[in-house]
Amino acid sequence: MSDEPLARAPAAGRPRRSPGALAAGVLIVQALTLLALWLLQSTFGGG
Amino acid sequence: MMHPVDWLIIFAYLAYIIWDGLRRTRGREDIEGYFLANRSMPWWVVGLSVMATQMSAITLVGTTGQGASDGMRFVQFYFGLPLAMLILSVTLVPFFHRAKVYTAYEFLERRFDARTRSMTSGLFLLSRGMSAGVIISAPAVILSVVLGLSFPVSVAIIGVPAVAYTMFGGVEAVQWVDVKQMVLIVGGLGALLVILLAGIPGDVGIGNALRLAGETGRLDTFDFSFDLTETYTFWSGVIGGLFLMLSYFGTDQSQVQRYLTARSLDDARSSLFMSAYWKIPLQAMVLMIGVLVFVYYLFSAPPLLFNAAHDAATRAAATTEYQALDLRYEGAFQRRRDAALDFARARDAGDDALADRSADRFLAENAALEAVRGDALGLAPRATGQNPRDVNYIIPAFVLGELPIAIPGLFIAAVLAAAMSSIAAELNSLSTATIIDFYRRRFRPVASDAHYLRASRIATGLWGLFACGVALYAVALGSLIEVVNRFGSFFYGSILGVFMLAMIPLARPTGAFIGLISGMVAVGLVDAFTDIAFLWLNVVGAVAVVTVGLLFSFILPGADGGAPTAVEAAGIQD
Repeated sequence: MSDEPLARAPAAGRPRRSPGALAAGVLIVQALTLLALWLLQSTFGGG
Repeated sequence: MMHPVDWLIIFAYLAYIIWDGLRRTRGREDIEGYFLANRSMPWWVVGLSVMATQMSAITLVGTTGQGASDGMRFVQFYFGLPLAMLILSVTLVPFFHRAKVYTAYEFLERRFDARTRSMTSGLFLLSRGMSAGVIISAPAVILSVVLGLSFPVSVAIIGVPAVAYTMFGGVEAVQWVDVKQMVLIVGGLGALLVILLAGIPGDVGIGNALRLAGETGRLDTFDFSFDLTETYTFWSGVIGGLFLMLSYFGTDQSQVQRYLTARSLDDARSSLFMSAYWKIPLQAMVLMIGVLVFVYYLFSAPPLLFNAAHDAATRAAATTEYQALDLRYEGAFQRRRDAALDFARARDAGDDALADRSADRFLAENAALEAVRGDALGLAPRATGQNPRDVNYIIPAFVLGELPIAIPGLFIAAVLAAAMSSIAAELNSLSTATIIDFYRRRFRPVASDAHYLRASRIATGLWGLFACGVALYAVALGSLIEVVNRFGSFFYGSILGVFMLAMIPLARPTGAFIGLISGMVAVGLVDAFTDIAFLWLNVVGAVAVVTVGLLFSFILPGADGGAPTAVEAAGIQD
């Protein structure tokens, strides 16, 4: 299966992604990732 | 020894990658197509390519090994990345995209002058040209040991396919191949994670296994100490890492070229957000795989040295000492395993006092075992005269020695994928900077597209030959490469500083050029006379360039008159 037609599809007509929403998403995902790492450390960490 | 099925997987993969890359040669008739895919790529292809470029083979074998030996703390290195991506998406990326440049450095000429463009592009060619060799040689050394191949053959296995599809297919081939490479890499890592979790002994369980890793400090991710000499802390990651990532993703042609191919500004931004979303979780997964390999070797005897060839050479050269160490190692392993099992049983039985005593025993035996391994790592170079980094062989030894048929083939294919995706991006961007910033700018300003396309392919091929040559002689060139890499770290923050200046309307061309030189000198001096960890050097360089650059822009404002602002340089209409 060739993926080239996808690459050459025109940019127009696609739903526009809001940069603000993407940025907020980045911050939320990072906060959750750091929280997960912190929970890993505090739950299973030594000392 | 690898099973024929594993070899079949590796060769099938290599054949597919070469075929997939070369079939995109069709339709390449101009350099905009060759270098920028006619600015037609969707965000997810660019985003995966950005991630594949950054994830080298050493990430797969070295970082997982670091997870096994040192734990999760290295992930802090990436804490500045998401913020860097957010900043770039509203600063440099719109300017590059609207200016319709081929290279990041081309934008600097429009904003400042040809001096600054040539200097930054030249520094990029110097450092990246040498590092392209290292990107091939580092995994080639490891592959030659674990697969039993000669070193030149390993270099060829990595270098030839990457050079071929980059040279003929251009950036579009590089990025579509990157997509497949990235799927293979993430798939391989995911498979490894599942196998490791499933392989934890039933009478221990995942919870107790993680507690054992945690007892040794391997799950300690965060270090909030503000120690400028400590390499990986929360603050060096967030602040120093922010400057490093701004420089890498915002000014390094090997990354900038990825998102210059995006079909819209929206796609370029979204491609960077993909890394912002996934880089830290992915890196945490890579390190966690290492931690779980450490857990695996709590219950299954690890070799004294993970580099099998070095292990055998050491045994042959210093038999008596080696056997004595091996005996101590075996004893320490048995006692550590017993303590670990006692710890798990005590916790399951709810006997906290016994669990605490078992944990103390476990830590003492773990320290004893690591001391023996430290002695072996000291003996090996004395006995053999060679000193390979054993930590890079932990994961290959585990995968090839402990996992069933097909998984080693998949893993080696993933390592090759990671190596090739990084080298292809380097070659593609080296060729672009050579042709656009030097050949077309200084030597042949007017020629047909067919001529530039031919020159671009030749440049890619020559950079490929150069990279393979550096790789072959990397050991002999060791000190030279180190000097160049060290030199490279001096100007990373400084180049970022020039681009920061470009965003400031008051900055003038001469001020920017003097600032760039001053930044590199400042970093050199700080590095020579202090113990500051390298991540902070990026901050020093960028701040020095901006400060000195603005100062000289005030002192010599009339020297170069009305330089265009960044908005004018990018040709943005209000």
